[in-house]
Amino acid sequence: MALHLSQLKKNYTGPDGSVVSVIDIDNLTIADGEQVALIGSSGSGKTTLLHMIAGIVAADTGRIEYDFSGMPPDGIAPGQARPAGIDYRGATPQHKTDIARMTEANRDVFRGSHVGYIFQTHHLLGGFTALENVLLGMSFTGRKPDRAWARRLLDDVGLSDRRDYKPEKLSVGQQQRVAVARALANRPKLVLADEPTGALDPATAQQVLELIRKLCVEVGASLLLVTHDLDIAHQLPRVLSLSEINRASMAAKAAARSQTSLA
Amino acid sequence: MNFLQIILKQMRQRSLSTWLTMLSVLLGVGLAVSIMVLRREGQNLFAQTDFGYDILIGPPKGSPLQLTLNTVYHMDQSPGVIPYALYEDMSRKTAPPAGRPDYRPWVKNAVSFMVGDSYNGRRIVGTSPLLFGFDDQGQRVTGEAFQYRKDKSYELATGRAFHPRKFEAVIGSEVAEREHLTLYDDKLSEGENEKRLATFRATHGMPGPNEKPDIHKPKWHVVGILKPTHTANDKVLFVPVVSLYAIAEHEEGMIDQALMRAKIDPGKVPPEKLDSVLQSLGIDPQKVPESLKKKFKLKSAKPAAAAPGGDLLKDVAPAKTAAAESDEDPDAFHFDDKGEIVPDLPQEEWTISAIMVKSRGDGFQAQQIMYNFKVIDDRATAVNPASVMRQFFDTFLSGSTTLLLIISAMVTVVAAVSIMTTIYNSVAARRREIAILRALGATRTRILSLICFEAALIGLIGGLAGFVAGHLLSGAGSIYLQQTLGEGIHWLQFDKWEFIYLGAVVFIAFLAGLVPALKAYTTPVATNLAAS
Ligand SMILES: Nc1ncnc2c1ncn2[C@@H]1O[C@H](COP(=O)(O)OP(=O)(O)OP(=O)(O)O)[C@@H](O)[C@H]1O
Ligand SMILES: [Mg+2]
Repeated sequence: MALHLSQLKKNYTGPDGSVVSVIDIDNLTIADGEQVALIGSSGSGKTTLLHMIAGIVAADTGRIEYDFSGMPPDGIAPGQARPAGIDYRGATPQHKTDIARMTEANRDVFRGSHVGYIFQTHHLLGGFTALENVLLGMSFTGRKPDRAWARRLLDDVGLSDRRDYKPEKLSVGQQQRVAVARALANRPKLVLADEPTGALDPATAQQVLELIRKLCVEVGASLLLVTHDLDIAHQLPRVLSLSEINRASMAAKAAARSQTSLA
Repeated sequence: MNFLQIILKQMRQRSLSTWLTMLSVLLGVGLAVSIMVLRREGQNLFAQTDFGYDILIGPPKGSPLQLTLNTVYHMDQSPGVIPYALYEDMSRKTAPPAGRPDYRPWVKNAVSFMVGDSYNGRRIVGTSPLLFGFDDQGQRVTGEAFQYRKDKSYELATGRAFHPRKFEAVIGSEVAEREHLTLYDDKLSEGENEKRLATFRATHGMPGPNEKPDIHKPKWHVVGILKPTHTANDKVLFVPVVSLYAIAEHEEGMIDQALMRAKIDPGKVPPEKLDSVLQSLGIDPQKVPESLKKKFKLKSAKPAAAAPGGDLLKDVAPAKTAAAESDEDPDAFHFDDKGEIVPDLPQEEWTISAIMVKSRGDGFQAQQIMYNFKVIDDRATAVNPASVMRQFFDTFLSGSTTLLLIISAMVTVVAAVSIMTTIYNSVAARRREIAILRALGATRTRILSLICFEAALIGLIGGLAGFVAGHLLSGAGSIYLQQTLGEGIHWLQFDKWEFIYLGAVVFIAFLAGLVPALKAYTTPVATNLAAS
């Protein structure tokens, strides 16, 4: 599945009422199965962009198109019912679907089915075991949870012996590996990772990065990975600097420059 | 993970507050359900219309409720007495002697009822053998057996009905069982029978735990034990009413009452004036037995009696000095040649507590009797026990239980509020988790329903537990009623109102969940994901 962003804009209103442009991207394409690192300074809008792509945050204007053309049917096994009343059902192999035009509820369901999201901190649910957290990732698609696949994923991230542990009994690295498994629970078409290695030591970080990349290849998902770590970024075939594609951050930089020159 | 699993997991995560909230629901529902059960089944118990008799005749000034509670449920004190002659009139099967009213067209049967004594705290009731379906000759009556409930007559488990003029007793099943009383065996001696607890003596009144019981001299033989009736009558010892008149103190009490009615202090009547005082009360002093007169003279001449030698005593009743000295009541009766009791107390002085009457026909005759005692005959009042109990229920039980029901509904509302605050707090603490669920694809409405159903589930589990607790509570109430009234309630029975209440509780819980659910609904995802 390919992702096309065009004329994408997002403004925030600051506490003083001033409107701040955070995202202003003309065009960006991530090809089917492509693995892209996204770098940028703090506050440049990386998280905001990922939230918009995932449909967590609504875009002000522009398009976020998921292009399913040439894809096999979207992971829904033949004969299995799709969730009713959701217009992403137009997203057949022949169609593109623009989540910027979806309602919030439809974006939620779309995300649940097609997007895997990995956060900087693991964001697992405390009351649930590792396996249950992975199953939880399958709970909002309208499809029957695939327990065998959940176990497979935990095996793949090296936690076959920690399935029934609650998050608080796992190390930070193990927690993040569970989070990786959960992100891939629905065999997403796109994995968005927001500094997934930020809280890990270099060795663990490397391990987790490799896991993410391997699993994305396995399920055929594209990957957009935000990182501050250039060593990590340069392991991916394509590195994007947000400041180069985002007019808003260029403007911010210009403003910052003019301020320093004034001083 | 399905919907319910997710809810249950989250509830378990906060098990303490969840349990406490459920407990508050349990209390509210348990209280309400038990009140509903007690009210409904209490109504069936008290406001029953299937009395075997339709009229109770009691003293003119007593309250109808007291009369009914005393006669039917053996609760409360007897409101007073009525002349035995009234019972004679009402139970007469042949044409009345001149000057006596003829109640035969109205009355199907009438049974005397006299209380005042007890055995080990159990009530002794003086009555006639007709209560058990036998006439005074010991013959089984046909077609007119007394019924304590509609179509229910007393049946003897063992033995026979008592003789109407002997110290014999028929006892209720529970008395027999609890007091280990057995049937009198003629083949054994009196002493052996006494050891086997086949005889008993009556205690005057119902002495309190610290009072010295005043035990009467006569001994009754247990000649019959009744089958359980599952009414208060199972706790009663029935004896011939005449045998109660053979107790000295009862006679004394009756004269006392006669004096009291005339506002004369019996302690102040000088011995020599007693005859004339009695005469003025319409009591023939000639007919008052010597034993009785002697007692009154003793009482009124206390200083003299206390003096050594007791000359006065000897003067008055020289033949009975021995009895007086042994500190026992003198016998207030003698046996006739057939061995039947002849009380010293003249029959005109006999009184009873009540008469249980089954009227003839379809209610018209009952109306006649009621009217008779309302307007014509002021020696007694007649009440319909069924309507008295129904009225009692309507005015007292119904009103007070309505209040209790309102209180328990309020407790339930408080429980709902506690559901609301518990979940509200948990939502505030779980903003991050809610954001995660949203990020995993849960829609706002899904989150809303997760929380509402969690609240409803607390209401349902707490409510079901309360439903069970309420019935157990009324089971305890039933045991209490069983002990006091002899009749329990059907505490396991439920009706649609309990389920409606339960449904309402779940619905209210669901609504209570709506407030925190709306908070969760509006929880922004992006900002709460950022907070770690
Ligand atoms: N809800 C909001 N309201 C107003 N401004 C916001 C909001 N969310 C983000 N911003 C602003 O948008 C800009 C981009 O934030 P974002 O979190 O996307 O940066 P980032 O590139 O992810 O930074 P970091 O590398 O530190 O995570 C910041 O200046 C931030 O203050
Ligand atoms: Mg960020």
